[in-house]
Amino acid sequence: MINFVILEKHSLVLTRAEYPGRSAYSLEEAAELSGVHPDMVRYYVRLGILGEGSLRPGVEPIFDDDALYELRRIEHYRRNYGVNRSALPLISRLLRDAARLEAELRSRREP
Amino acid sequence: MAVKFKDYYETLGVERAATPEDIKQAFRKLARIHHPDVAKNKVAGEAKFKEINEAYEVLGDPEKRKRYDELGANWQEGTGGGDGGMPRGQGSRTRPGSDFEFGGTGFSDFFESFFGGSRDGYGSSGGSDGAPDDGRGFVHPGRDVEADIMVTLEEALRGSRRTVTLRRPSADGGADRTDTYQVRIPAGVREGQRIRLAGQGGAGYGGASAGDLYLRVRLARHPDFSVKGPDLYSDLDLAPWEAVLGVQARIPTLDGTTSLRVPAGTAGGSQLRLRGLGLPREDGSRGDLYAVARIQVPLSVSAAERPLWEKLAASSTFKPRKTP
Repeated sequence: MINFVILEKHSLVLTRAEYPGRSAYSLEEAAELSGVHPDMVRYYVRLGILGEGSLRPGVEPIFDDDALYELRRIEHYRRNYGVNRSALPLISRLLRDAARLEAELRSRREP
Repeated sequence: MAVKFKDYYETLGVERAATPEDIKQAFRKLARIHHPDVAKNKVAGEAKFKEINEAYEVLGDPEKRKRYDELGANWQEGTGGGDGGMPRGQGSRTRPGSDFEFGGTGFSDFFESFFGGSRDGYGSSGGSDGAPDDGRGFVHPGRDVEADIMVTLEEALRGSRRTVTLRRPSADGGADRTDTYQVRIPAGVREGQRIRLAGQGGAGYGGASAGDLYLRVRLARHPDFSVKGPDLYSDLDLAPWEAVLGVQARIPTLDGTTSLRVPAGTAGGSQLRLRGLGLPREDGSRGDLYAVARIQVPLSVSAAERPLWEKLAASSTFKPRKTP
């Protein structure tokens, strides 16, 4: 992944390969990358807290970077703050609502 | 790491006591001049455009502006690291802005430290740089790190490639490390969308994996267009007679300019849709551009014009209000 290494005066400079910008993960991949059990991932999908990408009816859910971020965030709260499973959807939803409202407010303030 | 104070009022060329309207006008004026599409020097224009956007992001938001004003009053040059102003975060949390230094995102370290998205990001709350914060031993995955990346509407339309740098202090007191990432901004990127750079967050402990780095997209404000999902909105200023009689108007679009037929009897606030001139959707199709009619009135009328208006007033049967 690392292309080349340059040593500047005081710092090591690494240049890395290109990042694709948009990704698609299967349920198994998303579970592995987030450290969340696949059954829990399915549970979160059913609750609708992983974004639209994971909710296409009839097809195997596909997860994007936002969904993965959300999963990792949920797992972080569960593991480090002792948030129990039934509270996670609530917290996740509150955070997402706050972000959505912030974005809406921002777009309304557009010059 | 010293964070340099940014004078956003100076960037926009407005007084500290400027009204929200003054700030908006100043932003629009400067954004038109320095917009990468029109600026003579594209690279310098883009840097300046992003600087103006950052300033407006703070001063154009009453809550952020208030915080910024308080911060400015308490800021002492030279102390840096956020210690000169308000406390980091609202408490003792460490923020990426205070130990990670991003380049190429379009936002300054100052913005990232005090107003960035990582402010509330969970990745920033896990103690200092991935160290265990729960006392359960030293096998601990690295924290996820988040930063904002400013994306212009033109980039969101066509997609782009960005070079982002991340300088992090070394854990053992050795040389800093700077990583350079080539990040593809996909066409159709949305406000708030996150781009994941796997394994580029904080280092893990005890053989655990490193965290991820997430870039959160903030669409730069455009002087002409506002964004709602994949659709764009622009103001269409009309003279009263144009609104009444109709007109063929040239209007700016993200792709250039186009001609729009304004039908006779267009009321103020009417939205005229230009299909397919918005931002790309995920399926490859494009949103629409809405031109919102605003009837403008001349501030003064000449001696020649006045009798014409008076004649119209006398002969017209139009009644805009219900008589009470």
